[in-house]
Amino acid sequence: MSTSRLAFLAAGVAAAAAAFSLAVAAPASAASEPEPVGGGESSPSVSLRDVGLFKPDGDDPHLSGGDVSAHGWWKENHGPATHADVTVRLQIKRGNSWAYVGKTGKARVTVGGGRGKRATGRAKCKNTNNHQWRSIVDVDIVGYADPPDKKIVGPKTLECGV
Amino acid sequence: MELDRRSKRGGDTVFLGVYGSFRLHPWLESESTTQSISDDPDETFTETYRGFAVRPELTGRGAEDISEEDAYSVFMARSTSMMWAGDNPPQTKLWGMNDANVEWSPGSSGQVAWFQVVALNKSKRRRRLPVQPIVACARDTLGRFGELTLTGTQMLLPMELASDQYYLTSGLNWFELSDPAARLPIRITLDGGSDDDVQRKAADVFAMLQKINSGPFAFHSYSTDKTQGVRLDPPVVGDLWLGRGRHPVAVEATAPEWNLDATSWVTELCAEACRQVGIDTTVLVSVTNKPRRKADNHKTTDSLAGRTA
Repeated sequence: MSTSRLAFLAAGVAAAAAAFSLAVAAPASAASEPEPVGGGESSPSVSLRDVGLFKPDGDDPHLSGGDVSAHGWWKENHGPATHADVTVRLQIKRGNSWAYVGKTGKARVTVGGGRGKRATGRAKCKNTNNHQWRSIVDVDIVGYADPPDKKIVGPKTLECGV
Repeated sequence: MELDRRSKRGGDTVFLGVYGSFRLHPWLESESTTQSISDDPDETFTETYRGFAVRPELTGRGAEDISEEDAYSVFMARSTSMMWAGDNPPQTKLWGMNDANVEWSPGSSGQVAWFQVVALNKSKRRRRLPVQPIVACARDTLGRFGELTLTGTQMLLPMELASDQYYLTSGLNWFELSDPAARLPIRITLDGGSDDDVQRKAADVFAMLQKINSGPFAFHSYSTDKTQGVRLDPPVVGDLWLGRGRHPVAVEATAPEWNLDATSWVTELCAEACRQVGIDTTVLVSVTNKPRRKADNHKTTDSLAGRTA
């Protein structure tokens, strides 16, 4: 293996570790409810190095017709993984805590955000009162151990109550 | 439970609808698919996206190895590459992605595509609305799928976020090299939806359009007659965003050329005129090259001379 290849892998692991620590820290500081734990078909015997660098991503919760919607996907795949289970869950702020609402979006998708490569969480609005919303994007690489990355997207104030 | 749609939504959302006819690139194939998000009969959600992919027979690869893209993913890719959106620290994002789709189907004309973004304003200070980058991103996106024959655009603009557009007119020399033979009449409609602010201030808006530097764009007359408004079907937003009721102001104008550059410029000029006269609410701006269908009662520049001099 060439020197440059080794350097690339080291950089990839460092970046993935950084993403891991950020992703884990964020829910603890913002969410008052237990976060869902990624499951899927991960194997604990495979190291982070083998998975390569990946990143959960998503768009802000937004109004879509009479619903709130948010998309999630994964990107920047530099490893052997081909598919991931992407889960998108919406949360609304009630008092000082966040509550899960609406329907969870789940999809087993390839890398990128193209057609059929996104999961969508969605919740029906029952009134037009202002509320804070956010989405939790969870990516579980199929067949590999991976950090329980969850990206919190938001909060956004939307004219939607449930 | 039915939402109260009497009043329109505020916020920071920008919609763009692109209208016309469309011809798919010959090396691409396309299909529209509806996906169900929930199988709960009490709360059913579906999403429809038109996907595009290179024809497998042209690649030597199997269909399963060919990436399928759509308006959302290509718009997102372009906006991230141009540092208009996405994670590009330390640059400030102009917008966040919400949704998009190509509504065109073979043989159809009308609404070709729509794009929904949120204009980001983290500083909470007003700033220039990213009208032209959004339209340019949509233009580039559609160009990846095929060739557009444009008949109009429609943009919902959150005027409450708009700031002094001092640098807007400094770019008007873009049109100094337009083909003189390409000049054409265009029609514009400004609509505040359930809010009648635009209609009440129609004369002031029109006077401002004539007063500000609009380069080769010229604004000739306006009308508050509802029948004179631009009709682009289906509208990019409905009552949910505009509220119940429409208060359109139709403007007759001339553009130096007809393309998405020109419609984005004229849209932004109209937004600036609205801002200058104190309109601080969401406005839908429609632009078309289609001629009017009836004789109308447009107030002409001459009839306004006493008011604008």
